[in-house]
Amino acid sequence: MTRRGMLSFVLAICGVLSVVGVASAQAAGSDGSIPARLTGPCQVTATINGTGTTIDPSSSGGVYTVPLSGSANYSGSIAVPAEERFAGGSVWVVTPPGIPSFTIKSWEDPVAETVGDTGEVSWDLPGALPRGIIFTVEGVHNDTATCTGAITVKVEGGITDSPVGLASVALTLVTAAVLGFAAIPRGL
Amino acid sequence: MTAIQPSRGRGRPVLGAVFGLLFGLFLTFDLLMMSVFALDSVMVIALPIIMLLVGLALGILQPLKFLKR
Repeated sequence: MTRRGMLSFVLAICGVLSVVGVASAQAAGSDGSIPARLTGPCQVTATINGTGTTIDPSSSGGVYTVPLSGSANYSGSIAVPAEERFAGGSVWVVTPPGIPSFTIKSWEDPVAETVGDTGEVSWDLPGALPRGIIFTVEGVHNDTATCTGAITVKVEGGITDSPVGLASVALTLVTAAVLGFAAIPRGL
Repeated sequence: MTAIQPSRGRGRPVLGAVFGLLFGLFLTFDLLMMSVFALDSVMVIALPIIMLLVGLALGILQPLKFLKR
């Protein structure tokens, strides 16, 4: 293959990947109009203390911003008979295609008798955590009926609010400079 | 303006490909933190691959030969 042919091939691959990526981003609603979703006979809400933000996957909420540390009051229920039965489920973070998702929490009770739960959950994330990354959290509850849901969240802050972000920007510039050097012929 | 002609000298395709991939990875991370796209977007996988190919092309074609006098 000649160098012109190789260039054409490389540009064609880049073009296809770019179109697929942009189309995927638009389909996912990354422009902000991301619908939340909840299916099945379940109700679940959470209110972040201090901010007053209410997370309700049964309505369209866009991207929910959560603080680095805080707490939230949650409430969940399922419309099934309150009799002894198996109930279980899990919550996980959706990852890019080809990368296995990782589970945040899972539960299982072979002799469950309740049909609802309320409580408070708190968190304190490390300050070095990268901020601003939008990610989707999905969950499923298997009971007499099955409920599924998803919300889209991000941790408050931006790229300059954590040392990891600043380091990434610096390394981006360094690798860009070396990439530019690779474009210069030998013997300069 | 003359068209860029492929260099007849030795290029740096390996350096271009490796640092193209690294640049793509860090750029992807930067764009994630700027909330340009979500973590589950295919761009998280596609952008590093695109930059690997761009780096490979830059290393082979050496379009900055005008710096060599």
